[in-house]
Amino acid sequence: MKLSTRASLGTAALLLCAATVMTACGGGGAGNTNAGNELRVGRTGSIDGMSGDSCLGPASIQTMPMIYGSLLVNTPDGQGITGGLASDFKYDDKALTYTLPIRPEAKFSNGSAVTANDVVFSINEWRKGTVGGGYYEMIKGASAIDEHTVRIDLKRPDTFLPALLTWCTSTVYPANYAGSSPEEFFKKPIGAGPYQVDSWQNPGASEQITLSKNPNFYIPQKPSVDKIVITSSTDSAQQTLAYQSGQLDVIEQIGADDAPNVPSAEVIKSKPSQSMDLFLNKRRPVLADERVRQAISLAVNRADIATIQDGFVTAAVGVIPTNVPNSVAGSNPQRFDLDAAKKLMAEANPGPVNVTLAFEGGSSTVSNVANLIRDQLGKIGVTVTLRPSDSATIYDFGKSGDYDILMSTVTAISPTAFDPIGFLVVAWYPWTGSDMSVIQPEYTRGISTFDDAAKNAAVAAIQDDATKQSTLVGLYNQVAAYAVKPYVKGINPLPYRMWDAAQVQIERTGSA
Amino acid sequence: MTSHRFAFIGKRIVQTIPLLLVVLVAVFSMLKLVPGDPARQVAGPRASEAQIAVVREQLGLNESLPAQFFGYLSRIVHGDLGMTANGALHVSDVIRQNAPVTALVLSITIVFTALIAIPLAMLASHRPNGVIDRGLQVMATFGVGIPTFWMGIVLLAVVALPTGAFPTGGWGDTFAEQLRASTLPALALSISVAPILFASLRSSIIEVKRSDYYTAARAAGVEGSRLIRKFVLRNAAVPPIALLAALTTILLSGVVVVEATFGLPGLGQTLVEGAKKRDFNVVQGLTLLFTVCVVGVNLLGDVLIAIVDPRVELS
Repeated sequence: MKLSTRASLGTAALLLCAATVMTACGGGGAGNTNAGNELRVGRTGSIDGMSGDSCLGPASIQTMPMIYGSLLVNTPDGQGITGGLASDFKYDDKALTYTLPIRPEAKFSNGSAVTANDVVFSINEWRKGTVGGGYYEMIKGASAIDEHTVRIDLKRPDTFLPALLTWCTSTVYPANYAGSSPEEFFKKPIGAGPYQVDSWQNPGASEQITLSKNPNFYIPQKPSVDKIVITSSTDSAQQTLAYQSGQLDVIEQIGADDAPNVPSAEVIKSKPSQSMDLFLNKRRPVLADERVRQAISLAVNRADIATIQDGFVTAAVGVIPTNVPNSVAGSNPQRFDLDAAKKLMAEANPGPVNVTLAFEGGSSTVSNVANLIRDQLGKIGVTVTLRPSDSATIYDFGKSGDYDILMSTVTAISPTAFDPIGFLVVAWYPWTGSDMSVIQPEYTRGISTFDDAAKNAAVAAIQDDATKQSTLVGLYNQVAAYAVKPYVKGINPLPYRMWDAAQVQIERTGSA
Repeated sequence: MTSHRFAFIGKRIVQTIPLLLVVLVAVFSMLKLVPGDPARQVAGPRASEAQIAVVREQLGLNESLPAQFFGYLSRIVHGDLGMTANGALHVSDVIRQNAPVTALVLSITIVFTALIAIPLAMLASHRPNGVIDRGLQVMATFGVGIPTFWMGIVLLAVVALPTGAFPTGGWGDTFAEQLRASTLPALALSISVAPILFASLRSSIIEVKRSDYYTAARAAGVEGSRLIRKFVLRNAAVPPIALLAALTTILLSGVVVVEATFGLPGLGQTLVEGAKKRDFNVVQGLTLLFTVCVVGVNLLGDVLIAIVDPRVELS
């Protein structure tokens, strides 16, 4: 029997509909509640690639260590650094060297041992990196002392390197990429982290990364979860629905906007850390007078702003993220004092002050904060025009100087206050036209010593300088929050917007 | 197909080349006007000016604008859409991986649209301006007015979440999972497209039923499905086919929205992400692809009209 074209098309359409209905009724697959020893994680953001050199965003910061591990890692409380693939580190401040003993039990996912040669190769790759190469400019060279010991020679005293070795840019590769070209290697990388890459589907905004347990991971009995499936989406509300339906076990970085849709007991938070600051462009004539900038800082009611994200932020007293080692307040913390602000404005007598406030407009919470700031500054006669933008444009405004006031975040990704301070030194201080005479030497002092008292003194001096110059105005410190199903144990969010996947377990009871 | 039709298709394909060039120039120029430094985006906020300069050199952003454009054009001619800005992937690989998602969603949307619009248009045209016709026209007006993202959210909240029959997002590994993942996005999209097809088809059917040949066919004893297929739908299909190009544009813009609402890894999402990240090669590659799609559907529409209605001359 020969079917006509129309009949064929009609039949195909009917079959498609029938198949859709049957698959919908049949269950299984993407819409199901996960019942195995598999963790389904949702996030709004995609990785920047599989190379450590391209590791920039939160998705990469979380994912790269899961695959590659790192020589040093954060302590579980996030307040220190401990051994990872290297069991320890030793600093010689006379010879200006670090010595790192590599764990003999450390192996790549293909079963080969992690050797000193692999680490030396990796360090040389980091230094050559287009994006991250500059971070390692303090390194003079690296050499293998023996099969399991690496020595790093420095150009100058530097105590920041251990923190840098926890970063996702410091990924350990097999020497010569195990015989592959870098391009081939990064399609399906080999690492020594707790998980290995099974697949990376549809790279981009809605990518899916499937990881399976690395059978050769150096910590015995870890990881305990067999498989992790990470799904990205641009829409946080869609992620929340997927979590509610049981399609996801964890949502990374859930915001204050979406948190009410998740049972409060299932929202796990880090200590408040990521700092949201205002950056005042000193090069603008209207903001050139220090008294005007100080008045703006004093007019910002941080407690009121914090109430917009109740439970997710704490009011700032400085510009450095809190709950990071050595992040101490200055002797003259930033504060709200409307009378003092008005008095300073009267003294400065700047005439009409009209400024724009650029901020990331994609977040309703940040937009609400911007509106509140406009109202608060209105009380001292500063007229604010809001300028919502996206994150790419915000940094472009910052660099080009085409702004009056910007609102943006400052984040630590490793346990030292000198991590975000380094960011301020290369970015926001020069971009705001701030005087570098305090921050530059204090930063150098802070990263040249392991003495906590000296580090704290340097940070306090930087905080006081920020209060005095008021080109940087702290608003609040934000938690990193995760929605986590009750049967998922061991997710311990660090202030650095990451969790240790090796420690996670799934403990289902009954039909949970 | 006659040689005349082949000549027509060949001529139309040649005519699309200047159009594609204009689109490429427009997209290239617009991307250059958009604020946001791609080199900084790739290098990250912590990068020093020296690092950013190296990235800028690697991305070829130090060259003059004409040199950048003609370099891009030369690569396209050789089938190379370039790398993603961070150098991690070939743009063509990204398109190859994500295109099947968009293709499946659009295919199901077209089927749903046809299944909704054709029977309802026939029903409405049975008694023009009757109660059913008026009711369906009101519904069609609502359908066109409902934003696709809102319909998507409603379907998620009313269908996916309580029943668990469809995923609230994501794609899936097997074809069955992917079919399920595409169903609600396609339904959301077809609810906004079907009313347009319905309105066009309804008018055409009413017009056909008023024609002499329809009356003659009935008088000659042609009835039932033969009458509908051979005399009504075939003749009424011409205006809706002419609408194809407009519908394709609506579908391509709508798919961007539903892919975001349902977290589908399709080309729409890739385009949005590319624009956010100032990934020029991705945006240019996808714009080129979408333009080719629209032009291709236009051409297909012309050929289909000529096949359906022999009175139409391809010239």
